[in-house]
Amino acid sequence: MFFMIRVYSRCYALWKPSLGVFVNILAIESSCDETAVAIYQGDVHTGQGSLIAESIASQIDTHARFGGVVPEVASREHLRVLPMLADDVMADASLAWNDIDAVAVTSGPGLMGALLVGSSYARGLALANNIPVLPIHHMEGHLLAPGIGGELPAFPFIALLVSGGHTMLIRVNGIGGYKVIGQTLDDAAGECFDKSARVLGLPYPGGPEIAKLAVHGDCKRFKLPRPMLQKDNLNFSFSGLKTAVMYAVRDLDVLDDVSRQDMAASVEAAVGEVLVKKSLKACEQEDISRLLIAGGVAANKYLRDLLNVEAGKKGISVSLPSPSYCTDNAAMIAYAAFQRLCVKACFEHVKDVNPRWSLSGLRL
Amino acid sequence: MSYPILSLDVATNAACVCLVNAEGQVFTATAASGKQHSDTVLPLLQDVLKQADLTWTDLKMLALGQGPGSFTGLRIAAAMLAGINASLHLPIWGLSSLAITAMQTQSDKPVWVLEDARAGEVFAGYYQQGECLQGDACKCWSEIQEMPVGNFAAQQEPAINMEDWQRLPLQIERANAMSLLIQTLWDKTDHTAHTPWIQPVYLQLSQAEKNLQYV
Repeated sequence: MFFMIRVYSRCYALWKPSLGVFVNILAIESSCDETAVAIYQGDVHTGQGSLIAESIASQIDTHARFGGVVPEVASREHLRVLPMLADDVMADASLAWNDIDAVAVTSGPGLMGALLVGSSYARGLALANNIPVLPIHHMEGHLLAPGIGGELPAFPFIALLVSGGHTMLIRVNGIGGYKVIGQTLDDAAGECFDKSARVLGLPYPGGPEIAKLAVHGDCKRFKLPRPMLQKDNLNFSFSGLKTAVMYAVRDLDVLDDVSRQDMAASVEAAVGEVLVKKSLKACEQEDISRLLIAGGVAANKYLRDLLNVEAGKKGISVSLPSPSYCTDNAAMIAYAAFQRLCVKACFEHVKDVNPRWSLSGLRL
Repeated sequence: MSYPILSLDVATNAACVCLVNAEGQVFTATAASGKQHSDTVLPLLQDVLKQADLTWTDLKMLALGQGPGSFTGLRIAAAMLAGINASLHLPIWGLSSLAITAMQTQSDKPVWVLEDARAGEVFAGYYQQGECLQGDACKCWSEIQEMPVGNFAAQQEPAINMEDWQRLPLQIERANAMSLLIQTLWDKTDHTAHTPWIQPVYLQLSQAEKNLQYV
């Protein structure tokens, strides 16, 4: 196996793997509370490929008793399930280990201990099989996820990346060409759902619970703020919204089921309106009519419906990943690695993992 | 089950690897003290294989310093061996990281290995020439203070005053001690019980789990 290593002036050590045209990529994702393995098979000349096996082990039940993800517990759980998961996926794919051409692994951003489990496993696997490790940025995986089994919009496009840990607007000029044009100044949108859910006495994770209750609620009952909408930028702020929920609930005589439903609908409407309006503003500002939404919160039906309606009014096309690829998964990591190979992009030489890896720092 | 066996320990702040081949020759590699990460461990593994002139498929067994010790180090080692073993399907033998330290003393006498586990706790194991006299456990330092004084060994400084105890120096490198432990325990171990992947022995709950217990 040969590797070309180039060191760029800004000290980014980049390299290109020498692989064949037809590749089997095994991918590992362990950045937070989902352990996932997937295999993507494709032809890097034609860009045609398909996902041939995948498996995800969620830790949601493990962390529910803590009311949020506990990094040490997450790391232990990743190590407990990852070897079995990889074996299962290989069996499902009916491949032998010497059929695997490269190991793609989420190398950041994420929880340090959790990332290290996936990275160490990947490096061991690669070492014993003499294949390269392809370090993949978790957010790049999310950004490109709508392309799995579907088609990515033509470049450039605007991406709204929204999850429990991130809320950002990105101008995507091409594979590896990402410019963050707006982001949250405090809490992520998903975090706001989780914290509001906690105020309402709902279990973790809050997003799906809020969505379930909101279906039957009156979103106009509680007047919640739409933070940062009046600001002339594309940034977000959700910590004030969470505080407003807390005060509104405190002022209630009784927090009954109807109030819970109404508050859930009000929170969902407030978060949804801010995300949609800022996303459309980003399209307008960058003069781009293609919008993609990704990340765990992108599975929220209210947000997807609102975005489709409002974007449609402005002639903006919206790409939505399948809800199963909105949350963390390894298919998106394998697919991102494949896309990088297709355009002959470089891979960053990540020393182990980079929990604070910047998306804007990625290169082609 | 037979040699060659490759063993990895990342329980302390210096990762080490040893390889014992079928002729009983020992090859070792040790990282400089400091950061534990896979980038420092990988070259060690490659180094011992190269020294022994073997390839991965020549190996018959793997061994892991299973802990207790640094949680992150234990996971890096266990995950890396699991990755290596994905295609090899070799049995992995779990070794006590405290037993390796005891072996470093080269003493005939019984010795307590006492490693600070933070939060007032200590990982403790009692060994004599590789034999476990009292299994590894996480105790409070206050329990150690109440025990009859004896010999102890440690990688780090103890968290309590142990002036009355006899501290045994670590006479040999950890990688060599690991190879001696493997050879000492080889005939006394049921090698059919090993599995292709093993978990670290943490002996301590996470802080969040401890907090839940107190609620």
